[in-house]
Amino acid sequence: MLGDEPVDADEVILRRFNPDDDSHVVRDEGTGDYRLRSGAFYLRPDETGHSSHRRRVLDENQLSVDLVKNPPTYTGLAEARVEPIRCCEPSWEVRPDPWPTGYNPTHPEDVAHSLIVPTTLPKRTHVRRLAKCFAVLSMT
Amino acid sequence: MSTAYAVSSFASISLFQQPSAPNAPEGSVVLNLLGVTAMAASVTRAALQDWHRGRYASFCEPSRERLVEHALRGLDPMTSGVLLPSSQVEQAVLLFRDLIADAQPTPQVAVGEDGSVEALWLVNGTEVVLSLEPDGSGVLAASDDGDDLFEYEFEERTDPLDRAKIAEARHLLNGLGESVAHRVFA
Repeated sequence: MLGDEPVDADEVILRRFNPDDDSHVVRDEGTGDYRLRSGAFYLRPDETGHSSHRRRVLDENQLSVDLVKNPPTYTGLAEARVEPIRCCEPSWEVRPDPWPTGYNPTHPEDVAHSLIVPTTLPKRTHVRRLAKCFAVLSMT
Repeated sequence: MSTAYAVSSFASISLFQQPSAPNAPEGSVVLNLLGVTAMAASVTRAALQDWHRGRYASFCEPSRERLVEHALRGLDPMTSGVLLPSSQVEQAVLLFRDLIADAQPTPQVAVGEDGSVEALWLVNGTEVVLSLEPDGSGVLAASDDGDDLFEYEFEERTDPLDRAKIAEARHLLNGLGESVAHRVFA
């Protein structure tokens, strides 16, 4: 897969985060599980969408999901299905964003890169709903 | 606290000790001393048990003051790396003091890169969240496994959060406190 194919609703995307940053994760005091929070989705002024990676593209190119991590800071990994992200109100769109074009020997995972783009100007409430779509896979 | 308890107990015991008779045998003095020692040990043990019980209870069911203190620690620039305007800190302190009560879940407070403050209480998928923006606007919201329970937007100067909405959130937090099994505490 080249990574520029349209993103299907049943695909899974991965998002890295900093597990040591209190604004990125919150702990459920009932279950003990961790969950992403809105701070993990801060959109800087020069960004059009939140960086993510498509699991299907990684798998088909035999690339490990661990390549998505960016140690030593962004060592946490969360995943979400695309369908609930699109169903958020107002919705988000997941677009393929393989960059740079072609194979990148230093960052082969870039072939699976995608962007979570807001369809309208997002408020904090909308970002919180997006964060809830993700399940934490790894905290280290 | 335990020392004061023990000292006052010793003082009370001494009031009940009868002075030895001038012609009493030496053995009765020894027995008397042993009795006082045993009573003192018993009182001290009881005081220590109370003290430990108090510590255990305060760990399991944190007081309002400890929870507020924990929330405010999240605003500390040394913790967050972000220096907040004093007006935003004052607004947060006032709202924390209104919302937080004994034995509630832990407010997990974080400051975002954009200077927003988010306090989040999360228990078994039910969450209460308070967001405060640097411009004085904010949201108090709650949801249960993705279903919105309430969502109140406010603005500190023109449309402040009213007491009934704060009470609604506090009532929900009081109930959630009963299901806390994995306490987050620094």
